[in-house]
Amino acid sequence: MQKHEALIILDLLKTDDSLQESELVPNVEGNTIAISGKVSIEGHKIKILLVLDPDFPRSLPYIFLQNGSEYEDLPHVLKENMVCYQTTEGIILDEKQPAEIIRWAIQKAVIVLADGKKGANWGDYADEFEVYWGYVSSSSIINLVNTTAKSHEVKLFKNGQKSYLAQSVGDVARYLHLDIDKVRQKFPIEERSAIFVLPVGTVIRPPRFDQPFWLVDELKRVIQPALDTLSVKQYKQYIKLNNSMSGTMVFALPRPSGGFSLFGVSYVSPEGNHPFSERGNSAKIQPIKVLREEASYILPRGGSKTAHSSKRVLLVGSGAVGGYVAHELVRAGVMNLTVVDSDKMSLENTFRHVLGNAYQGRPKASSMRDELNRKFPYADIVAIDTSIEQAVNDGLVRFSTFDLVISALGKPTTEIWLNEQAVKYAKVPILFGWVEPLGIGGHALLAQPGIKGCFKCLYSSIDPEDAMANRAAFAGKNQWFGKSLSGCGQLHTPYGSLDASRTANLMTQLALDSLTGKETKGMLLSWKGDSAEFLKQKYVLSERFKTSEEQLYHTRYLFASSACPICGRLPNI
Amino acid sequence: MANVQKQFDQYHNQIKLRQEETILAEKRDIIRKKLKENLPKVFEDHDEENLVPEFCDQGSYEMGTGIKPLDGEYDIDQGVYFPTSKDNGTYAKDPVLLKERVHEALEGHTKDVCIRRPCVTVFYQKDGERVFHVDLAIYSDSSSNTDNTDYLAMGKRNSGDDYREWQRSNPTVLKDTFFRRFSNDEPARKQFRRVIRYMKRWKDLNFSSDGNNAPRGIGLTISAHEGFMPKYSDPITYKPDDLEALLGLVNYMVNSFFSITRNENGNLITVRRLTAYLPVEPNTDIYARMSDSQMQSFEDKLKNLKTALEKATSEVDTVEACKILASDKVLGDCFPIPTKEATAVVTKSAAVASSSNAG
Ligand SMILES: [Zn+2]
Ligand SMILES: [Zn+2]
Repeated sequence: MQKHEALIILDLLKTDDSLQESELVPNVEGNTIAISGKVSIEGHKIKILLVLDPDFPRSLPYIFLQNGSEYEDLPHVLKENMVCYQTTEGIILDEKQPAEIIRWAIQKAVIVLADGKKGANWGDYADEFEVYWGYVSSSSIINLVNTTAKSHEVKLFKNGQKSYLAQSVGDVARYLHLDIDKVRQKFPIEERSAIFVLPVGTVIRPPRFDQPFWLVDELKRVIQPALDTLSVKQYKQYIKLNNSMSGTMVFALPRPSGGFSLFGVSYVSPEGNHPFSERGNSAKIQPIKVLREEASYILPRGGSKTAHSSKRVLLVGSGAVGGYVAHELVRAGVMNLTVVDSDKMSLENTFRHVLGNAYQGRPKASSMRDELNRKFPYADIVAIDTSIEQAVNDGLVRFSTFDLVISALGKPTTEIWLNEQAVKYAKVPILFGWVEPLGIGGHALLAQPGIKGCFKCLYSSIDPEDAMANRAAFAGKNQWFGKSLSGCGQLHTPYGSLDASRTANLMTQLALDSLTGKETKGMLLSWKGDSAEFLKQKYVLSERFKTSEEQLYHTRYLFASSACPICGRLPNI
Repeated sequence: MANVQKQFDQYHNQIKLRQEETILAEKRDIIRKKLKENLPKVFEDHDEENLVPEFCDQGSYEMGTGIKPLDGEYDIDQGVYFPTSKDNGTYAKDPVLLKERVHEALEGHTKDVCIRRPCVTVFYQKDGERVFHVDLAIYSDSSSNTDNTDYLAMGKRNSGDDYREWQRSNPTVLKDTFFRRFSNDEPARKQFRRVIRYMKRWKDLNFSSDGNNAPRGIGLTISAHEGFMPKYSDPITYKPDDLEALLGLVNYMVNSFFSITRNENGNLITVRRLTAYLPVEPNTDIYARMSDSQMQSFEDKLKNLKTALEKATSEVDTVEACKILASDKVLGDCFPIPTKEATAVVTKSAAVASSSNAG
């Protein structure tokens, strides 16, 4: 923003008294504009500073209090006395009304400060506690412990640079996708520690960055409510457990908006007395920022807590469709995934496979595992680089140990076998997904054990001459689509990455609905694409493609066939 | 329950009127040419402004619901649109006058051209018998009217003034209205057309074509528009079940008959009626011209059809089911009856087939 524009805004602001005695602050660097003025809070006039970024009025102004203001020690007054009155997400600004944006911001800030003075929003301290704690901390630890409602013992694994707070060394190993030995080697120091959980409703005024940190007495006073909830035995145990010259404690402060704010304190006590013990007053304490990397904090909730993370899913086929499914499942919080594929990554796949060209020549299943481990903490991926039949023969896969089987093979012969194994013998839900040539569409089919409707139903036309034709197909029957890129050898059905990912989206939604129990019936979902290229190549569409998407959705539960040898004799539900 | 869809498919192929198969299209083109050639002279003779008409196909021919006529008398509907206002053009007062001009332009083209109430009809004869005819509906074009609507010239030569009128008409919108339901649903649209054709053939088998004996084809089309529901033997592959769809429509029609009581010469009489209101202007009831006794016969025959279709539906044996459908007053002998041997053949399914699945 230019100075002359700022002057216009200033004139507009002068038409009322939302910012009194306003004036431009001279000599501000760059294109930033600063305006000083006074606002009234419950009859008091206090001085504030408005700072407008170069992209103002497409961003909100910053509002600062003057140093030493009697309002500076309140919730939402952050470092350098900046007043936090609105998060930047979830708002839209009309840049044609800059003065109105400023008025709105001032009004919001005044409410925050007035509430703070009255004590009406002190509960908010707990929500923002980690921000304040960050200002005063000069070191940090990484937390992997899922916070519970009770205080408990934990361990700290550290080296000169990094510290992990965890229940066990195994948790660190899983998180880092390393062997336990490797973790011990990398983080040779193991310390006992504890997380002290404060009671719900505890209000703590955070330490100020511009003042010396708390003394032991102050810390003890502040966290006393947590100590009060401990039994004598626990008290002794937690205070004695790091009966050494130094140690780290972590405190969990329940947030009014849910969850906890975590903050740490390290201490040094040359006499070996814990700061909370009788003679611990002479210990030196330091604030430590707690970086939140525990599963309960970072894993997606998916609307049902972290229920997905405990489910076990078998994914057969990690080609274009399976690759997207694997990624979306992990992103949705499904952490235990076994991937089976006997194929290797090949050049032909590059532009439609989620792994691109990065793993060329390597087995698809273990490539997928490595990629998911690289991207997602807590992902627990097992890769089996053989065919599913081989994996079963070798005893590596038992269908009944999974909550859901997913097939993205695109090979109906194997899938008809898989279908029978899952729904008939192992009694486990199974989900299939496949794409059709040249962008005409894709399908996802969920089959549930004991309920009519399975993958074999699609190959169980009442008309015997259609026994081998997929009833859900968009391509007319008896047409050959394989395209050989290099003479003999592998055939590739022509379809693109977008087709694979659209199909994977349908599948992932069905998978999650099945895992959460939201979908207890079988279902056939199809998406219809553009048939122009397909028709141009003189292929013929099925009648099913020619009906509307509404009609397809309408009949999603009606795919069962009475002629199906697998589920045909089951009662209708 | 026997599956007779194959036979329905064959039957449909038999009765369906294909545009390219007929000589009607050819005759229609000759008439168009004749009108273009002769009309300027006719108008000049009458000291009237020369009007150049535009043509447009209409009726079942355009809608794709035409069937081959039983008695061999094919017909085709042709719209002829003149740029003349129904309010202040030369023919505003008397639409029949414009029909006279058309008649005059075609005179001598065949022996038989006559002015009927809704159209000018050109009959073609072979060995003294009428073999087919072209109905020309004469319009005042929407572009010449302030309300941007087409008007149909109604009335014949001996009509009184009251029967000579320009009637609001919307034949092109009619097709859109009938098919809007199926705009994205080709399997249903195709079955809709087939079922209309079955009904029309049933009508030809059961009613004589003179007067208002028979329900008009457009009436049956309206009934189908109201009562047709697509039916499939497999809801996933959309394999049609025309027998169920036809039975569904017949049921709808039978159930739609209602009783009205009216006073006729002092006597209260109760009669049965069915209506078929045009879903576009002029929104008239197409069945209104049928007499009470014609209506009664319509209902009786529909009930017979319903009974026959129900019997065919419950028949296990394909041959027997087809025999029922092929009887005179049901769908007629064009309906194929397979041999016992043919229906006994079990199709051996292939061991290897192509698949369009990929993953
Ligand atoms: Zn805040
Ligand atoms: Zn089945």
